[in-house]
Amino acid sequence: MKIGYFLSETITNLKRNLLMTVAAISTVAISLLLLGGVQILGMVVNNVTLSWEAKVEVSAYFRDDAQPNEIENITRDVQAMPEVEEVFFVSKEQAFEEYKKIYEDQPQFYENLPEDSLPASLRIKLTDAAYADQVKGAIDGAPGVDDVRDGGLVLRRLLQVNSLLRTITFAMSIILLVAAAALIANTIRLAIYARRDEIGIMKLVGATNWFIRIPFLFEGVFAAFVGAIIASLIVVGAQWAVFKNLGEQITFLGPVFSFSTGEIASVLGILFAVGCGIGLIGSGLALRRFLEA
Amino acid sequence: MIKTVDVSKVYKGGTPAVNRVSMDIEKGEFVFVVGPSGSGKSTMIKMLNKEEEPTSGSIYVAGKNLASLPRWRVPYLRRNVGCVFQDFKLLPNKTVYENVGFALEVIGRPRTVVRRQVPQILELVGLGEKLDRFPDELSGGEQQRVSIARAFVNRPLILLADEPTGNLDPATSVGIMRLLDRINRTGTTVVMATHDHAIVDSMRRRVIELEGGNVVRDQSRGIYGVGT
Repeated sequence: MKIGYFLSETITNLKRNLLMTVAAISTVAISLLLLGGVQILGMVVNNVTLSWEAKVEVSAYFRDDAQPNEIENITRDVQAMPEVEEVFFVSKEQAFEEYKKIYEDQPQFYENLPEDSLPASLRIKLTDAAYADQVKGAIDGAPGVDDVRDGGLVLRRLLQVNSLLRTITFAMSIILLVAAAALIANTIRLAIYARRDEIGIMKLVGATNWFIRIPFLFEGVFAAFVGAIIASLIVVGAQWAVFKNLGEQITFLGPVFSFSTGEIASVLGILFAVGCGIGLIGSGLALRRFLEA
Repeated sequence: MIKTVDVSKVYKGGTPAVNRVSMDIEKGEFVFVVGPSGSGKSTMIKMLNKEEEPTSGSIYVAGKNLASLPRWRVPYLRRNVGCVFQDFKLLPNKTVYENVGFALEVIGRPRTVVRRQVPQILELVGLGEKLDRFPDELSGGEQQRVSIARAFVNRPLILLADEPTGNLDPATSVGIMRLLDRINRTGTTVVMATHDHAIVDSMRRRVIELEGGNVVRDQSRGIYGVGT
């Protein structure tokens, strides 16, 4: 019976204070949208990093006179290293095939080369690009190894920039989180301030504080919830329309702009949690001032 | 029903608004508290409702010592003490029906009771036709009738009225006084602060006169001013 009263009270108030309801909902939607946008940006940066990191490999080239057991030893040692994710052996023949494939259209590059002119090598995938130097140092100078190369300085510089970007997006999302919280809480406070006389009158009639509070809390959560729905729809819509299409049309962007359902769900989860949490806490705190005395 | 003992109220950094006031009001009495502006009438009324705390002295309302009433019990006190104000204090975004119904919802009355009692009481105050109006669509007299209906709908023991006719013309005021008189006849104790001579003189009820926060007269079946 009481729940019925509180719900109908909430709905009536939302309708009769339509302007404030709209203001609160749009404030929540916009602040959450910004927050969600930064989250997506962070995911893009993360994907970029991952796809570049995947390209950081260490290649160990064998001398032509390397013994099979030397090759075997090194392969086994490298495989045992915790920093190493995967090791491929590329034989002289395979190397030549790959080379031929690269220059398919220009046979003059390989026609006159003997089939064994390229060295055999180990391609080593790392668990993290940061281990490149370490792994390189461990193999360099081993018997049978001619030369060790890694993905290159440029890539590593880019990864450094990327980790900076990651820090920045993280900081931004914290700042936007605080800003969203402040904005939502402020809007609610204004809405309640506009109705402070109402609260005073309710108290005079003998309403307990909880009786006054609950419809306001429901209103705050409702506005926040609707705002979060709007923000989520826009985030999902933008992800689908912009990123997915771009990713399909421009292939190298594909892995960067593809997010798993789980990732999207976690962003939406953050939006809803932040929105409703602040709606509830903001209303509660704003009410406290007017309920006292 | 209401008893005050040596009650004083001093606002921050000011002269006393109420100075050692003692009064005793029996159940079912109709009492005017009169005096010029600033004489302490409103402060007195507010203290009876625990809207203001006295600086010293004690107040008993319906058998309860207000000073020892914990804050969470105050709403329950107020359900026994109806209030009517000069500025009506109606909820602006609720209809007449909802404003009166609110006083019942607050004390946990079921909807069916609200649906039965609210039209009844609004009929009684002469607003049976205006249930769905909002306060700003009503005249001052009508708004005051709504506020009286709200104060009376849950049959409080006491009705406090602070200048209820202060914003109304004389003819409308007479209607409001008739209503308060009818409520008083049902056994409700009515305490009304006013400076309206005509009303006090015509009603011939107990008059407590305040001046500068002091009781200067307490007279049963009195008129507004002795010398006037």
